[in-house]
Amino acid sequence: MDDKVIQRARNRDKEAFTEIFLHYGHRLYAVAFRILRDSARAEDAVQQTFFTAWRELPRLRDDSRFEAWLYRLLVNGCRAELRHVVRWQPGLRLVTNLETPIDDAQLSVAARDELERAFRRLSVDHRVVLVLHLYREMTADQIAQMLDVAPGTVRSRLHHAKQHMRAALEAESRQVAAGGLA
Amino acid sequence: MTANENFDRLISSWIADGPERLSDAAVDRFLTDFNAPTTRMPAWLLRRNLRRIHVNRFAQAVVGAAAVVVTAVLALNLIAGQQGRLGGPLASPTSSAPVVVGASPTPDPTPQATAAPPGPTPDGSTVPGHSPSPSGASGALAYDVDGDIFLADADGSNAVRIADGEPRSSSECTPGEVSNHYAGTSWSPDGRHLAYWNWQPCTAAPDYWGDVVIADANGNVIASFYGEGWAIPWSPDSTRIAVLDNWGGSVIHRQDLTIGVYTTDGTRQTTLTVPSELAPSSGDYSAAWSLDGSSILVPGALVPLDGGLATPSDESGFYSGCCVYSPDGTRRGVVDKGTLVVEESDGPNSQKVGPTEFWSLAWSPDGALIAFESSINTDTGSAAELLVRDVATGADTSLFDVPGSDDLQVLEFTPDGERVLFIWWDGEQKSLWSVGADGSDPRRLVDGIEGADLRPQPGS
Repeated sequence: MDDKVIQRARNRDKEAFTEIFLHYGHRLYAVAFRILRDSARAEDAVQQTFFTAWRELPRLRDDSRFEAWLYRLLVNGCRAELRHVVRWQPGLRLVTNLETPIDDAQLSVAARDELERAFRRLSVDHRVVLVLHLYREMTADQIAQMLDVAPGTVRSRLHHAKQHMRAALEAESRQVAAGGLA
Repeated sequence: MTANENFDRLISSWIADGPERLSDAAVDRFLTDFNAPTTRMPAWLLRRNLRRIHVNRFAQAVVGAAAVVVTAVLALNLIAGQQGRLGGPLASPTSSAPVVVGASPTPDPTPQATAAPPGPTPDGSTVPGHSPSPSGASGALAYDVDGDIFLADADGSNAVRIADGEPRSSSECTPGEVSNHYAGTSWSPDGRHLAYWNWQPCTAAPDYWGDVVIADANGNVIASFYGEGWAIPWSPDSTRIAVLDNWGGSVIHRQDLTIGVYTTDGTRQTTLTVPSELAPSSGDYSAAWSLDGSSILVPGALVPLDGGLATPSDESGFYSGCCVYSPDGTRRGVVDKGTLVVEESDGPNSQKVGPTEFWSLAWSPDGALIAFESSINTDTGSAAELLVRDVATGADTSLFDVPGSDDLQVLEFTPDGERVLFIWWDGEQKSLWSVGADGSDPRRLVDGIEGADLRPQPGS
């Protein structure tokens, strides 16, 4: 994204900000969906992110940090969404997942369901690092810089999140081995 | 491909599934709202914000009503509690305890010494409930290593294994196999009981979270019951524990959140219900007690024990990074981006959820000092530092300083206030350390640790 566009948007140029929205909106939504696991709420989080960005942009001093700043706003938006969500509706989620083809990882429906549930038990902070690391393929240092936290904190959250997800998968595989849900 | 790589590939594949682009309708909605003659947040966002304000005001009203009573009760408890505190100095660094690792006066970011996990003493029982009666150990320090629970002196010496579990990562279970992994030690505030989790990694049911085990001060198991959550929250009067029944809900049935309140003999005293519309929507929380012990709190809801209905509550107090209250409950410490802020207490959501699992901050027993971790980003990377703030003067003293991207986690002060216990995670393993409150004499106590808790006062 051209810095000049950001500068124009800072000067209250709506056309420039629209350009920013069209440039970043989809990728922010993709991340928000993976954090929230809900399309409608991910859309809401993105909407809130951009309204906040429009309001706060004049206060952003370093244009080179614009994207990281935008992601921090998105994380806050996701956090707000999770605070107000009622409870997830697992039946609907399961159907949604089945609409997407299972790739060569050959995750069973039950395993995917376990991952879904395990993921929902993670805090927003843990979800964020997992998604940014595994989906956006960012390193711990990059995530730390983006979120303005210590890399060690990111690594710790990543470790915790993976451990939690691994336990869910192991539990599911044990159930299959025991003749349970397959 | 290693198991880790395969696991990463599976999780990456799962995470990658899903939409990549906003729907056209969502794009249109934003552009319509944004390009309206006066750009402002649309009504649906405003409504949400108004609700948040309402909830916060409600919480403040609850806080205001409870604060006076809570403060008075705490002051009385503090006066009574101080008289029985464990006050003995730490053992000599020359102690022959097998679990003590040679400590270096200057912290070594990449310590060469590798301590074997503490082993059981010959007379230590390896099965909970078989009265291990640790010989020699004061039992002041409880900690877990590789699925085992140990009691030891405050400096880590004279360790006795009171629960023999298995490392979670090594669980290769066969159908029907019973396997135990003990972790998460938490002393009752009066030091008479120790609680910890049994994660049971081989339990077949994927929904199974874990059992809370309650033991006496010597490690003899008294009771065990099912529960969910991270911490094991003791009531302020040490008589009860509150655990979640259904942390994440069910994949089949949408449920209200229920909370079980248990006495120390394992009797389920009461069941509290948080209706689904108030129940937390994400994990990483535990039940917590209000300061006066009259209510249980979870993110977003406060449930009275007297049978009253759950009510909305300010949720900010129950996630990581919130605050730790002073011993008298009148102030709280908050670390925000590496800076410690001490402020007046404004709520009943004071809590101690386990061994400071979520907060890297601890007050000294007399409330005069706060130990905290400050992790900051610098031009050359990150740095973690253990500091002590003199609350009266606001002066900070550095106790332990780790260059590089390492993590420090402040656990607590020793009951005499002379030393600070903390965990240092070097990226490979966690080690338990202690250091004088003036920064002197850092000692590495136990390697390979997961968590630890010091007994507040001698159990008797």
